[in-house]
Amino acid sequence: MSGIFAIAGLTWRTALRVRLAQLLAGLVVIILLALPAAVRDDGTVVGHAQVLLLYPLGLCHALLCLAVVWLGADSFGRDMRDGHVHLLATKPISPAALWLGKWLGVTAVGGSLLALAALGVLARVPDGAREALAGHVERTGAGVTDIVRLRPGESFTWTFEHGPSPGTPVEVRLCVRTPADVPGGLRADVVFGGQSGVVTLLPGRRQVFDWKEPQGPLSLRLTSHGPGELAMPLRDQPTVRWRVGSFAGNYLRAVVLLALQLAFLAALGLAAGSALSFPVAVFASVAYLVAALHAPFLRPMAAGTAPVDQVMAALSRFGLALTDALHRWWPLGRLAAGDLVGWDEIGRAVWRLGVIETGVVMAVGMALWSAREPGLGGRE
Amino acid sequence: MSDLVVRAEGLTRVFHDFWGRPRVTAVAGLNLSLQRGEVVGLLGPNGAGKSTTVKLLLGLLRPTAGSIEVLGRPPRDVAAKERVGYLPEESYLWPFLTGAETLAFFARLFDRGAPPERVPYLLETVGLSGAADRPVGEYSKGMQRRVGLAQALINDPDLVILDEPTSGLDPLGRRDVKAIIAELAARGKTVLLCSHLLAEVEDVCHRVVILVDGRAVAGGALGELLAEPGRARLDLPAVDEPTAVRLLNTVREVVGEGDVHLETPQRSLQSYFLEVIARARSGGGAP
Repeated sequence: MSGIFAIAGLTWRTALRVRLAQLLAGLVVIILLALPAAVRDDGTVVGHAQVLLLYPLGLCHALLCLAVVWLGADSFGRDMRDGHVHLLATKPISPAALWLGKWLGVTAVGGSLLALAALGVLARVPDGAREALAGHVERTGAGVTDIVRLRPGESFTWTFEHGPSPGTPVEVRLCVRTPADVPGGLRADVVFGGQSGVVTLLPGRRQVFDWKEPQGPLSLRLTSHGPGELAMPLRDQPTVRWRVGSFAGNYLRAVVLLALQLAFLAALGLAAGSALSFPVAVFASVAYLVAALHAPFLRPMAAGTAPVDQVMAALSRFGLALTDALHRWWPLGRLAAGDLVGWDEIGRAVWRLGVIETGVVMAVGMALWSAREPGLGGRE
Repeated sequence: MSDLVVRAEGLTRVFHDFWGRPRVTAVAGLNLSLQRGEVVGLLGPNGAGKSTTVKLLLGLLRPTAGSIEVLGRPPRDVAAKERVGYLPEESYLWPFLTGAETLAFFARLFDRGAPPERVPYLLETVGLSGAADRPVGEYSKGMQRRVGLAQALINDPDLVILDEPTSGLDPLGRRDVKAIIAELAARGKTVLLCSHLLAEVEDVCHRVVILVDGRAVAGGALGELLAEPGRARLDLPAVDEPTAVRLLNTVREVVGEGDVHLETPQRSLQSYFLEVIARARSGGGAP
């Protein structure tokens, strides 16, 4: 084990001397200092915090993704170029252990810079926004139909299973539609969690109602008093949302997901560098990153909702499957929305991304490196 | 422990071009064996296959044909590498590490490790104690060679492979390296030495193997290879000219007329240089 850590330490020290790593570290600092002031928000503390979470942290993470694939792809190539491999390969450290040490080193560089960026962003998130952006869980009602239509005097009941413990403050979010404009809104009786009230529903607007201490099983009964019919398509029907953790905990878990992505990308860069020359390895790794960044454009094509031919749809599905490791675990959107990034998700990500997917890439990389002849120095 | 440290039979290495076509046969059917305690010189002109042979023995290259055993194991076996030390032809060290850090790093790569006093001992042995905390990138080429030699010895190896160990060294450094090689041999270590400097090979090696075009064309114990049968040499203190003439006449009476001559031997420039340096350092003048 001491050999693996010695290689990791050396990789760390080497990486910090790579110009690109220095440049990216500088950019991370500049982004943390300058970007929050440059990007406009909606003027609220929550809006400002959301901008911080989405842009500076997101951009830092994107730069670090580039940094780790670059450093990973360069690591073996540099050893071959500078001849270090002649010394390393003649010492009693197996190719797998050498590979593992390099992966630890590159991941540690990326992880450290990510920690720096995350701490920098966390320090700038206003206290007033942390309550609103704490980890929340949102549930839809059971037994919903595609569309609910209520004429004056009619009622509909939604039941929410696996809700919060009694007494937990809850938000109810819903939106109603009307065939015609209703300037004063619709009046409705709401019975929810043992409490009742009269509310005004404004058509076309997503409304949030706070229930401080609902008791008993969570079910919501809505009775419309008109005027006119109201309609609620599936996406507008009520959801309940409640807080289950602190902002700091949610933030920490989101950063863990980002770190797992960096570890995966470090393995990807090293695997490419194990078999290919540095420029080709960097090109392949960066192409993967670019494909992952295009996931939002690929999804409609893969799902067939965009007007593309079968070949393009199949290519989009292939691209999505190939880059699933990155976009599946993207947490910043949910973090900025105050949605929970749960421990169960961390567990799944550690198993699937950290162990299975990173493990497969590492195994392939180790096999490729073991098959190489270090004495060739990049020839033949 | 078996006395056979390296055994290579029918060792062949062919380099191929991009399309997989044979391009160069660097080593062709080489048989090589090294015994414990031997210092063997691997000689040959440029392109003879010396470096390829060394890389094959170290597991840096795979043979196209033939077999290799190093300390009874395949050369890529980690257990074999525990007992091998290698000084490559170039420095290949990390310029930002200091001399002491370089040796400490290599010590950590060995399972059985190295005792804590090994690093300062080796720095002292190669004459770098005073520069231990300077980055290797600031070292002269000779100093880099010295720290390279120290890393090759960090595990107190049973087999030491040295590729041009005195390249870039001053005469003092060359003398030190030769002393280290002699000490290794005295301790039962096996040394394979690749060098173009034949005088140095002659000074330290017990045996040589000469490669040409990847084949061993000559080899054997130096004493046997370099002996001149049919000749004898008499070594005696300096004499004046009349005495010299008398001596020559006496010898000619015994062995007959032929190539008999008497001359004043000359010391080597290296020997003279070393003496001057030693005197200067001790405060004396030139001899």
